[in-house]
Amino acid sequence: MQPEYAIRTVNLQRTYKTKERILKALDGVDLAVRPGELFGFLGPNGAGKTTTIKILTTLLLPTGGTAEVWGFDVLHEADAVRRHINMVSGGESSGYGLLTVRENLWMFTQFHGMDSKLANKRIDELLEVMGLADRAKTRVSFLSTGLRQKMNYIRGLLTDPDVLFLDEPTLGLDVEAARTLRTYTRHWLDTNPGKTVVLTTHYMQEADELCDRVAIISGGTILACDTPTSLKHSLQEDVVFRLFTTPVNPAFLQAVEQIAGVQSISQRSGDQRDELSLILRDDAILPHVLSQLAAHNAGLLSLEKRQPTLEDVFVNLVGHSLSESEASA
Amino acid sequence: MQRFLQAFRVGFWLGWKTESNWTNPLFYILWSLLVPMSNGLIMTMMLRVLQRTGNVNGADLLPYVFIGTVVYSIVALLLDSMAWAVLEDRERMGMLKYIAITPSSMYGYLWGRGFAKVSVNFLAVPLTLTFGALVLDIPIQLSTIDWPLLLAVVVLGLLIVTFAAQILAGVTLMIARHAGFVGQAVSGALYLFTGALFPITVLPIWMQTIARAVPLTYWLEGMRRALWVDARNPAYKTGLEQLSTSNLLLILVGAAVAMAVISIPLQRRAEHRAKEKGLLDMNTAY
Repeated sequence: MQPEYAIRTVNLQRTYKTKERILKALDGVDLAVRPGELFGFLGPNGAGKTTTIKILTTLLLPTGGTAEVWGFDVLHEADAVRRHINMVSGGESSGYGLLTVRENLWMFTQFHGMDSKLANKRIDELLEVMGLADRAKTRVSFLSTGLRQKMNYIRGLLTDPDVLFLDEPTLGLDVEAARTLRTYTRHWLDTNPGKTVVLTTHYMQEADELCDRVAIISGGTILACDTPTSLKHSLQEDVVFRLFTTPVNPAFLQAVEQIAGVQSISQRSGDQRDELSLILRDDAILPHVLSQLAAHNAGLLSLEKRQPTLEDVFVNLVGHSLSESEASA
Repeated sequence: MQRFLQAFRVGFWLGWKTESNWTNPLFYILWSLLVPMSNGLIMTMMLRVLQRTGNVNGADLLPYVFIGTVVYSIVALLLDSMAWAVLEDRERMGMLKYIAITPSSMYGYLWGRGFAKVSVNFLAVPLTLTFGALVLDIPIQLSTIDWPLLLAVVVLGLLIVTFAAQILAGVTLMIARHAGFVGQAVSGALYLFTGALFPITVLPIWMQTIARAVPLTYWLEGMRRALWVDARNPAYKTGLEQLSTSNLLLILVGAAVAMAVISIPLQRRAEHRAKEKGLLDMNTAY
C-alpha cells in the first residue's frame, strides 16, 4: 500500500560534537515528499544534503526531530525502511574489484532476497540500458570511475526500490553518461508510477531539468521548497542582469551591496574578466551599479538582461552563488 | 533467522571469491601450507636447539608446540576476519554503507565473510599436521584420533572464536582505519595466554589466572587431546591435565553460550553507536 508521503521529516536535526565545537549539520528540516515525485536537494557542499540522505537511508541517527520513509520511522523501524529504499552515491570508486560487474550486481540482489533468475534478467536489462552489456564479465577493478558509477546506478535500480536516493549521481561522469543517467531516471519514474526519487545535486541545470520540486538547502536549513518554475517565478518581479567586466575588487562588491534595490550580486572570476550576476528590484538601479564599476576602475565588457534561473534563486536566497560557496568551503 | 542465513550465504560467497580469487590453485595450496608450516618449523627448530643445550625435553614438547601452533593459525585468521571485512568494505571498497542499507543481517554477512576466510585456509591445518606426522615424527595417527571429540571441539571452538570476532568487528565499526591492529593485537595476546606455544604452567601465577579464564586455552587443550593420544594422559602436564574431557567440553559449551550472550548485544550496541557517530560510511583515506 502506498503511503501518503514517501518521505516526511519534522524538525529534523543533526549535530556533530567535536572537542572544539558543536556543528549543526541539520537545523530543523521539514520535508513532505509524495510518492511519484522526483524531489531535488540543491545546495553547496556542507549544506546538509548528504546528512539528510544518510538519515533517511538509516546510515545515520538524527539528534532531534522525526523522519519517516515510506511510512516507517527511520529510528525505530529501520529494517522496514530498508525494504523500500536503495541509494547511489556519486564521485566514488566503490565496488569489489575482484568481482565482475555481473557478480557485483547479483550480490546486492541477494542481500535484498531477490530470486536469482529474476535478478539476472533485470541485470541484463539494465546493463543494456546503461551501455554496459559488453562489460558484464569485466572485473570491476578494470572499469573507469565513470563505468563504476554506471554500475552503481544499476545497483540502485535493480531492487526496484520505492524510494531511490541519488546522492550527486552524475558527479565525475562525462556529459553523455550523465545525460543517459538523467534520462533513464525520468523514464523509470514515468513508467513506474508511485516510485520516488530523491536527488541531491549542486548542478543547477540538473535540478531544473529533472526535478518536480526542489528544496534549496544551506547551513542545514531549507530556505525554499517548490517547483523549479515557481522558484524562478518568485524572482519575476526582479530584474536579472549578467555583466562581464574587467576584474573587480571586493570593495566594489561591498559598495554594490550597499545600493538600495540591489537584491544580490555574485561574482565568478575568469581569465582576465569577471562574470557578475545581479538581481535588482528594477531597471533604474542599474546605472548606480555601473557608476560604482567606474568608481572602482573596472570596465564593462558586456551586459545582458535575462530570465531568472535557479542559480539566481539560489543566489537570492543564500546571498552568494554555488561556486562561491564551494570555493569558500 | 532467514535474513541471517541469507546474508551469511552472500557473505560467504563474497569472502570465498575475494579470498581465493587472487591466485591459481597451485599457489593457493603452497600459500596455505607455507604459512602454518613455516611457523611450525620455526618452533620445531627452536625446540631442537634448546634440546641440544639440555634445557628442554624436546620429545615431550614438540607435539605440544606443533599442534598448538598449527591449530592456532585458524584462530588468528577467524578472529581477525570480521574486523578486516569491516575495514575492507568500509575503507577500501566503499561498500559497507550499501550493505548496511539493505534489509539483510549485518551479523550474518560478517559471519559469512569470517567462515569463508577460514574455509579458504582450513585445508592448511590437516595438510600441515600430515606434514608434521610424516616429516617431523609428530605422533598423530588416524587410528588414534578421537574423532567425535575432535568434531565437538572444532565446532565449539569455531563458535567461541566467531563470537569473539564479532566483538572485534563491533569495536572496528566504532573506530578509524588504524583499527586494523585490533584483531592482530588480540590474537597475538591470546597466543601468549592460551598455551598455544607452551604449557600455561610456565607462566607466572597471575598470568595463569588469565590463561584459565580464556576459553581458547580449553579449546587448544581439547584439540590436543583429540589429535594426540598422549595428551589424554593426566601424566602429561599441561596445566589442565586434572580436568576430565567431559568437564572440558562442558566448559567449552558454557564459554560458547557466554560469548554469544556477550557478543550479540555488544555488536548491536556498536552498530548503533556507529550510526550515532556517522561511522558506517567513514573513509579515513590514509
